[in-house]
Amino acid sequence: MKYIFLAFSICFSYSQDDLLDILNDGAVNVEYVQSAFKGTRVANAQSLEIPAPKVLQFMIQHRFGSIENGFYDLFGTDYAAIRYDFSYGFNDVFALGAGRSSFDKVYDIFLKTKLLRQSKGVKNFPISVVLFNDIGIKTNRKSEQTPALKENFSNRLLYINQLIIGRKFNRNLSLQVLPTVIHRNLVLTPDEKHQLASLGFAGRYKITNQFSINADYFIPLDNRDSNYKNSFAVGFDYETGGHVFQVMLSNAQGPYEFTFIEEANGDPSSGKLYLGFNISRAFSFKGNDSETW
Amino acid sequence: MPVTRINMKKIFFISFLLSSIFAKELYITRSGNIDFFSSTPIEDIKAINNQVSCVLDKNNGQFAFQIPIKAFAFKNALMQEHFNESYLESDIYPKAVFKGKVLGWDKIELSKDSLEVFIEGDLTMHGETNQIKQSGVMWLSSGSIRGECVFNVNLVDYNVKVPKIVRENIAEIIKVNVSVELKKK
Repeated sequence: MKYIFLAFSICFSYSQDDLLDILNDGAVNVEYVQSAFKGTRVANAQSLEIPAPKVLQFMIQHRFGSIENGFYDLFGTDYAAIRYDFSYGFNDVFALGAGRSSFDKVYDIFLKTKLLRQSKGVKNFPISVVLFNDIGIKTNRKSEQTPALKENFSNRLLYINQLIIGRKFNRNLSLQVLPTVIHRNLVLTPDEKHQLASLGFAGRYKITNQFSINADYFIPLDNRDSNYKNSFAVGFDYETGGHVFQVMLSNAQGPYEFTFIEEANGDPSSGKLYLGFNISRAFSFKGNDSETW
Repeated sequence: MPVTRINMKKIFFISFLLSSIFAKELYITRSGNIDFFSSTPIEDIKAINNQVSCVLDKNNGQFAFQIPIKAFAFKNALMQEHFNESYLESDIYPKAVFKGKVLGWDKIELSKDSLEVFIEGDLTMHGETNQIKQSGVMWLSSGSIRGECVFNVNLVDYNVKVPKIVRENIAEIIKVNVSVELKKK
């Protein structure tokens, strides 16, 4: 009788923990790793992120003059270089954007495509890979240095192609490398190259849920004009609910890829550095139909 | 004592049969719905999760819910990010779990008409566990057991910290709707 009782009690009772085990057994979801960065930029450099599906992101990238004159021009804030940046997320993997920079009056259009996405669960993949393609059009008037700007429209064009390979290591730390090739149709001297390759590094460390420290750095892969330095930016992200606010200090003034990767002219030893900020606001175009969320 | 051994075998055989019968008394879903609603004068925030799994043991009225936090979809993607990153911290606490039972299960006869039942259990979310006692309704619908329940979650009970800057936008008490259709396993 004892055995019967035992056997019956075994087959009768599912404890609540057993019930949870049953639920755990059949988990079949792929979980894509999200929020490696708070913004679509690390500081100057592009991040792994694109705007969420059906979200239009408007970003103002504002860079001040050099801080070297101190209070005289309030650390460069009397001067400004600005880039407006609009980008729209079509789905989880594809975004299209456009921008306009005050420096060289460059209009640019760009695509950001997530080729591979870091994931956990049933499908485990360690990294994300994003392709960034940008075409810039310089619309400044010809000058003594650039008489060729007017000869041919194609002289105004430059192309930026960049792979963003990164990983969110944990909820605080995300790192990425950015192999970059920039092609410019017009060069100023015969010594300058049309094709410029460089390697970027970028990362963020989140201190609190709202605050992170960010940095990026680019190394040219061959010789460059010695007037230009390896570009770097250090800064922080502060997220306020509706906005992401990014403040940075960089040796490059322009927020456009070509300007900060190839034309960084500041130098920490001489105090020639630039303060800047990015502020972004997202506008959602999702419908009210709850089923489509 | 060969006779006893045979008896033992029989017992286990019978219990095996029985267990296979009783195993069929589990009702389960992996696509249950939970949505929640936060209402303040400034804005209303709603999120929907349709990847809720739930299992009910029809023998004793005990049940368990498992809710993947990242599966809550918001209309505003930024809100979804804040919900995961800042409030529920879903990297650290990826699931919410509710373990409970339907009170007075022995006396409950489910039918096609919705019947008010009382449930009791522990909700674990964001690393905090609180007891919940709430009324809900259950009914039968073409071979499956349906259940619905509405209850309130007080954010303070689950140590969910809302930053000052958005405190006006997020209600302290969140209304949660649960709806599951459990099919025989």
